[in-house]
Amino acid sequence: MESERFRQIEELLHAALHQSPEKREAFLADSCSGDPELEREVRLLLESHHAAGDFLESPALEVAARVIASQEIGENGESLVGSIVSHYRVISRLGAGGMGVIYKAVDEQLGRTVALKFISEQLVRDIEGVDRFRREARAASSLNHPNICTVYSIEEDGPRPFMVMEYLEGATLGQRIKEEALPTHVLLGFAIEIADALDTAHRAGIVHRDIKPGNIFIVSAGGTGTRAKILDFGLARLGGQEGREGEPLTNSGMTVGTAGYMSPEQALGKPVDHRTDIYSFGLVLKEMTGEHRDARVARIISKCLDHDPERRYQHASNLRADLEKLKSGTRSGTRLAAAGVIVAALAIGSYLYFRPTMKLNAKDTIILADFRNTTGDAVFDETLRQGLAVQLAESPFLSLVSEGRIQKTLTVMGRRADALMSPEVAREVCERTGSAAVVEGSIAPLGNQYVLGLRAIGCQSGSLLDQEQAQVSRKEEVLHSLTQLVTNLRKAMGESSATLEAHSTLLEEATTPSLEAMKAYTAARKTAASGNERAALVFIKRALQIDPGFAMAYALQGRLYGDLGELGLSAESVRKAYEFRDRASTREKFYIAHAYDRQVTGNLERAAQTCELWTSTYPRDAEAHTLYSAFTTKGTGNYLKSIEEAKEAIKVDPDFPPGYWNLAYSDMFVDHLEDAKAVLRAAAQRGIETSDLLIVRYFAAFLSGDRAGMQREVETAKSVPDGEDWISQSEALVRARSGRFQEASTLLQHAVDLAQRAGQQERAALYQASEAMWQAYAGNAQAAKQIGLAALDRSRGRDVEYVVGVALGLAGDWKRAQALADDLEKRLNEDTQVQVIYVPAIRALVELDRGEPAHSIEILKASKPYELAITFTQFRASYGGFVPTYVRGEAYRRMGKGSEAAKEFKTILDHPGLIWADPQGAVARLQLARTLVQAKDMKKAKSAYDDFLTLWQGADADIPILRQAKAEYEELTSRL
Amino acid sequence: MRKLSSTNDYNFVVKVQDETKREDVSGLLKAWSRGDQHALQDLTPIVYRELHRLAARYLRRERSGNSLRTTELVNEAYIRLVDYKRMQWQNRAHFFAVSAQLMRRILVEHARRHNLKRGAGMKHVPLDDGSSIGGARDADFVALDDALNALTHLDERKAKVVELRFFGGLSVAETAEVLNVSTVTILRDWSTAKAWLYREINGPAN
Repeated sequence: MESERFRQIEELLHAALHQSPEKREAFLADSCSGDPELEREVRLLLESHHAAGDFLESPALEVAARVIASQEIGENGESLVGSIVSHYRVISRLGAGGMGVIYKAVDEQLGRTVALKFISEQLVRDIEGVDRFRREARAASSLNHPNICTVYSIEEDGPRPFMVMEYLEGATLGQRIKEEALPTHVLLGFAIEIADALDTAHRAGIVHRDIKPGNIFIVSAGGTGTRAKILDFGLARLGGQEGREGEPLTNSGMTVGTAGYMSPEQALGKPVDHRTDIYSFGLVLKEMTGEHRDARVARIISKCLDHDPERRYQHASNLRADLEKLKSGTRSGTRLAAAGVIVAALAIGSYLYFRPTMKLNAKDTIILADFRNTTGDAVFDETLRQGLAVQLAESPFLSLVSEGRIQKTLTVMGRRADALMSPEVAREVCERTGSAAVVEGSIAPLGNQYVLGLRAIGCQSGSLLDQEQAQVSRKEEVLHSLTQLVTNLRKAMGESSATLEAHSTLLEEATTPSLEAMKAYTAARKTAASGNERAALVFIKRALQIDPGFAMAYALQGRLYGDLGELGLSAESVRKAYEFRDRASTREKFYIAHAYDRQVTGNLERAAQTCELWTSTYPRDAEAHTLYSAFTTKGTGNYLKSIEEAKEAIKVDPDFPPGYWNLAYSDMFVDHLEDAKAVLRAAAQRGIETSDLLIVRYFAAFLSGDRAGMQREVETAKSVPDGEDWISQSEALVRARSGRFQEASTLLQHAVDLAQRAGQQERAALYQASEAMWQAYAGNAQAAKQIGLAALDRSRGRDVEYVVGVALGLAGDWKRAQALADDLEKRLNEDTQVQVIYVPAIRALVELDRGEPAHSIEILKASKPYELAITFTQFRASYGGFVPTYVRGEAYRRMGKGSEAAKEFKTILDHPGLIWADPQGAVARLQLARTLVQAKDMKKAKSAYDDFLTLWQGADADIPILRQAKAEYEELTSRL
Repeated sequence: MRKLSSTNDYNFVVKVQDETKREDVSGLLKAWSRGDQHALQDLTPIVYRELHRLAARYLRRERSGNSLRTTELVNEAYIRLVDYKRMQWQNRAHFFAVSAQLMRRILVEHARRHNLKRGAGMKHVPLDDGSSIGGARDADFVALDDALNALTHLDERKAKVVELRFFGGLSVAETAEVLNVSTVTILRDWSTAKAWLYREINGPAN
């Protein structure tokens, strides 16, 4: 349209508006004579002017906020669902429309299912609106016709009246004709029913005023076939449309009716009667029958659509008669084309009335099939599936079955664990894992463009739950479009807009805008999953070369280095991931934040807060629960929380191994040995085997005195990755605990060699440092220093420095010990364990060495809150705990406070589930004996000496503390 | 001994809390009007926050059955966002125009991203076949944005009027001031534009 033409139309529009309604017709005909197109334009604009109502009258911010608010109410289902209103139990929300919200409910008195319609807040605000709602609804409730949705009653609930209506299942006519072309005889059948219903209503003096495809419902009635029902009789006038009374209902009144279905008299604001419905019905009929309608149908339609009401069908009964005549002459099976795409894209808050979509619930899991790539462009291979996985993992509502679980299921199905997930295979995995749906993706070429598609299929029913498609013009936009499709899919599957809003980072923002980088990342993940971390690192480096700000790639790199025991490099990667954390999905941000605090800062409190937020946002994320239950809680002694979270992890994903060992560890730490064993059995039943489980089993056997069981694990260890060095070190601890230092030394050297050969220097150093520590406890100061310094040469890792610092402190080398404490304190100033356990323990030893035991006691006050927390050295190498307690005991002993000192050593001995085979436990027995002598409790002292000497029966002869112990024992017994 | 680390620096996974920092909306608007696209990125979360705050208040009122007028809530929100009275703009009209344009950009983008309507390269999915919703139809910002673009070609001033009044929340008088025309002209433009946009968005039936 030209600007000039537009101005002309505008002039006429305003001129027409200045005329009284009666004179408008004549005015328009007169002023547009000779230009029917102009007249049509003006009329259309005039109609829109009347229909527009308060369209755009509220500021945009308000409109947007109201939509969000109404979605909140509607989609969270927290409004009335589950409550009792009057004697109706509200079951679910069916939809919302301009009038308000509709719920499905059960009439508790009559035991029947009903629909409850509450009028909207906007209408409630208006007293007159409420009155008219009652009046009109009452009139409508008098209608009793099989093709009119029955209104049972109007009731009140507080300030809001609501309508109790017949509950219908099916879809609106609008939806039906959009979905498929209906056979002519079926269409005519519906039309006849509608005409009959209108006839009945009109005879009762009730005009609908808003007949349109969205107000006609096609009920899928069992047995009797489908049937049309007219909805919302008598409600149209509520909307403030100018009716016979000629006054709008409310000042802020809503617009009712789509301009497209109004009769000319209605649009012009003239008085209307029942023939307005006939006109509207003509339009519906026109839409139902599409473009290729036959001539007889066209004649009926045009008679409905006459501008002059006098020349239309005068009664719906005449219309019905003509339709019946036509139908009897129509062969069934003839198809009329469906109407084209219907105009008017409506906003959210759309009219979901009785829409029969299957939605998922918050307990369902889903399976991802492979992406079907028919573009021939390899860059899309697997990349899009990975992108889809990242996107779906963003959803707290949908839960993907873990890769581990899928691999296991594939194995059970007799396929390779890395088999391609074709739609058929995915369907079977879906059924076997008890999941609800399979999500399939596809990308196909379309000229120079691409067609991207997503489908969700219910795996029990095989029915299509949702289908999304997008045409993408450029390769670079594929990831972006995928995000939008996933968002649509999530919504269609039943996710609330609240979580959608909060968790839908655009894929290119959550990962990388580069498809090539995404491809390399995907390859890295796949390679890592097959256990080849080193090869995976090569792919990761490629991804990071292309996109040096790819946070998720850094995070994966951190994991891979961590798995390889390269903690320094791992921490460095995590630091980078943290630096670019804004470029990660919500879920991945949690992972990165947690890894940062665990690996870089050591701030366990904050790590726990991250986990708290993470698990509450993604309650079905097994990894979130597992990390919460791991060192994050164990390291502060919060074992109950750890147990709770580990159980949750297992519940969420029974095939995720870390859940089991974390639970078993914590059960042991609280001395629930039998519970731990039950967990270990459960893991074994699932065929889960890892080095952690092996170690827990070994020490569970140790704590039960089950030598055969321990030996069994030693054998098993040879076939478990990373098992052999760890078990060897564990065996060394057990020997050292009995004073068999030479054997222990040999076993330990084996562990150190294995770790070193695997390139795990820090691990080797941590093993080696354990010998420095036991030599120090045993009084072999020279050996302790020598071995400790050798360990430091291997690695300056935090835990190595700690253990060596303690060993040096025990061996009297306080200057070196102090230097290590200084270094730790400075380097890791946020690290919870360093600040509260490591540094105070070493400094207290330094004070002991300098002859200031009272200072030691003072310094160790800081450690009190974490007395029963395990240290990271215990978590990784099963020794090094209870140092503050031990040093405190020794300080009291040196101060001559026997009974205080005894209490400390007793604490150590009272927690076999924490101390395991740490040689410190043996020395604590001797220390207890000494302090009891000091406390003058000779009888108990003797029994403590007996204890120690029995344990060290087979000990090497030349150990200083053994010689001292024997001498002390002789003196004691001679005095008794 | 050092106390356990405090936790106040932990905020990047939690949305930045309301009053943690005083945003310089005026400064950002100026920057944006000079063509600084980063300013838009910074302004967006501020508008979103206001939007959700407003939605939450509606929700509370809805739940408590409070049927008081809520106009003042909207005004409050606009003022918090673009408090022109406190701002020292040399050109008040320019400021109005920029802030209205900004609201349009952000709300349309919000609708595009979250309302799951028609995005770039996406198929057109009519969510419904025409229901009796006034308010909700208004919220089809994406369709409105398209229609406004079309209107700009026919009559640029009318499109501006809609942008200022609907997106900018300006009164008729303020709009007249910005465009330097009489209020009668604004009223006339407004009613024509409304009718035209309404038809453009909802389409003629036949």
